[in-house]
Amino acid sequence: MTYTFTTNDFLLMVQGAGITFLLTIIAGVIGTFMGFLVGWARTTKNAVFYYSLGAYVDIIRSIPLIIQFVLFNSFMAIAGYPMDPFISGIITLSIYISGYVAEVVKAGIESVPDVTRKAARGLGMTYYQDFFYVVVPIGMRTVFPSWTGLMLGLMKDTSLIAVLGATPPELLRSSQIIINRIQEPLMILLGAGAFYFIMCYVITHFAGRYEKIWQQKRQAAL
Amino acid sequence: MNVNRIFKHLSLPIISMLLFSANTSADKLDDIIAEGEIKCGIMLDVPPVGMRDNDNNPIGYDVEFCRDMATALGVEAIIVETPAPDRIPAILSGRVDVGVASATNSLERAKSVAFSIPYQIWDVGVAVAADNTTISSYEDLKGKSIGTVRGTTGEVAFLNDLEKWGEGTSHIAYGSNAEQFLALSQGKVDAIIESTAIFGEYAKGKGKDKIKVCCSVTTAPADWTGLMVKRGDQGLLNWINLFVWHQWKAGRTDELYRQWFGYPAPNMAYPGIHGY
Amino acid sequence: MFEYTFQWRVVWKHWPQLLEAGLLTLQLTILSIIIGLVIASVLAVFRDSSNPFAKYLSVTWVALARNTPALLQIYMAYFGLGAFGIHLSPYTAVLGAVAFNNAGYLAEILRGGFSTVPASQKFAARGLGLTATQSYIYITLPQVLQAVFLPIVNQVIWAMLATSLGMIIGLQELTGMTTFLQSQTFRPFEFYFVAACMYLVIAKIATMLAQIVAAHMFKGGADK
Repeated sequence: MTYTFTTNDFLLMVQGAGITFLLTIIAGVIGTFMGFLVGWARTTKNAVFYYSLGAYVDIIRSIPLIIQFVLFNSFMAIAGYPMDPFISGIITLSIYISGYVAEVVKAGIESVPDVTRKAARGLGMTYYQDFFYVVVPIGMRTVFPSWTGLMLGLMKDTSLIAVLGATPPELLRSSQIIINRIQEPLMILLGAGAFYFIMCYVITHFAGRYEKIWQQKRQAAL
Repeated sequence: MNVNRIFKHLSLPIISMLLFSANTSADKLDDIIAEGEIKCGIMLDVPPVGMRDNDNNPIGYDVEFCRDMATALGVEAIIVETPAPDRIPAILSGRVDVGVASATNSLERAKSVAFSIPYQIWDVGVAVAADNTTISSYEDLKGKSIGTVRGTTGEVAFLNDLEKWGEGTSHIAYGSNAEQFLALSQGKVDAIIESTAIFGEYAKGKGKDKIKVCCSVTTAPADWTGLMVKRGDQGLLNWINLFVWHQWKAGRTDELYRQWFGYPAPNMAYPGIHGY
Repeated sequence: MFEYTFQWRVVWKHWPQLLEAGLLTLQLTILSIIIGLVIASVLAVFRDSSNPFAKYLSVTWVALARNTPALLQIYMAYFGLGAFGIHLSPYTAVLGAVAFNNAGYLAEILRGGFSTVPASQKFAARGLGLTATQSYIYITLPQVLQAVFLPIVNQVIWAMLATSLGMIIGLQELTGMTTFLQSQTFRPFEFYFVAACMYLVIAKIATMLAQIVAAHMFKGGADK
């Protein structure tokens, strides 16, 4: 056994970064889809939807993710449906991020002026046509930066899945594995931080560029 | 006629029980043998009982203990990593058959899961920086700052004493050994309390010549740990108890102690009493 | 399905400890937000400052706070500074790190809020004889705070969640206490469930406090 940082360890961290990315994408896609439905349902003037889903969003956003992981995992366990921690982790992450996405989606839909929607309906569009061809394109563009911010937050939050010991290990967990062996927590965590920073930075950069192209297109269209 | 009728009524449930209950037979031990594998829940962040080698394969005292158990059963050992908060859910849900996680066999915990007879005893000690000359006994900790790992048995014993000692002594509960060691090396705490085996492993690598074990925690010098199974799995528990006994009798426990802790296995029967 | 028997009495027995830890979480949340807001209002101004150093400081702070995990920030405040001989207590380290993080996010939120205040107001204030600082504190900032009230409330909740990471460096806040108690009793589900409920209550209290403060500051304008 060696007690120093090896090439193998570096590869483990790179693999961890890959898993972090994968977790972010899977939970991001599922969570965005769920959050979209929840956010949409909350804008329809149905009081049952509004309050029950409002409670859902509120609860999810007020409980630390670590506790959500442990609770969901142990609840499924004692209910007699044991799950692989990786799977239960992905489900928890998806539910967790859906609460945040729902708020953003709701804000996006509400940002579309009533006049616009009435005009669309006046042109003979059905509710769904209005929603998908008018509200979604305009509203989602408004909240795109907030959504990107959520996904960045999600990427950092995936690290908390470490509490379940899910395998394969994501970035923070693989860092912890190395720390346990070589006992250099400061250096390793700084390295992990650099990984996160780079990944976040790259995404922010591309999101920013995407937004610019969007704006240019819109200006060209006007 | 009557008998026939009764038989007729009974036969269907009995036959269906025989047919369909193969997977949920009365005893977990049967399931393990039938499936040909035993799933051990092990903490892999507690060197030297559970850790990972250079290639990230699980190794350690607990890992080998599980493999020995599998060999004795004639089945394959499946190592499932269970961090502290997941240990109990994993056992309760049957995701693991037995918890091999160096868990102290406290009466409070035994209300939740069943413990085997002791399979491993930790010495609980106090470690200080190698050049420390002011702390040479457990009593010397009065008025100092002490770091522990949250939820460990050493911590619980220390907390009891801390209450008696009164003001002046400070205590910080860290998340894991890594933080505890770092805090000692940075001088954030004067002493740390943990199992001496954990200190020993640390002293092999990063902590070489940096720490020394000064003394044992006099109020709780030893931490008796047991294997854990679901409270109702009595048949499995019986087998495991006998296995732990045989493991000792065959000298294998001693071998594992020398290999992972670097010293011979201590006496695992508490003086003056039978059983645990 | 449920072979498990829930045991709630054991949680009740440890209720005083949980309550104490919960109050610590609440206290940290409120303090970290107040400190974060103060720093953020400075950072937001620095961002558009002509002084390159001030601008650079602001940009770096925001990028670091937003793009690295909160766990790392807490770790650095405690052990990172410790490597240079600066020893903070776990409490100070967590408070500092969460405030650092809050400041980064809040600065961006405030900056977004600035766009809602027309520049003409600033000129008017200056014309009335207010200094630049006075006009910022009395005219611009209150309006910005009003515009960004909701995102700030979200940040309050986020700050509360972040304090839970303090348990790693030795803070006995709600998550740390829960972890300790469950390891003693081996009743993870019961303890984490109660902790989750407590977080919900703390979040509600913190949000309500924010609303009361806002109502006072903006004379009821915030919940329009």
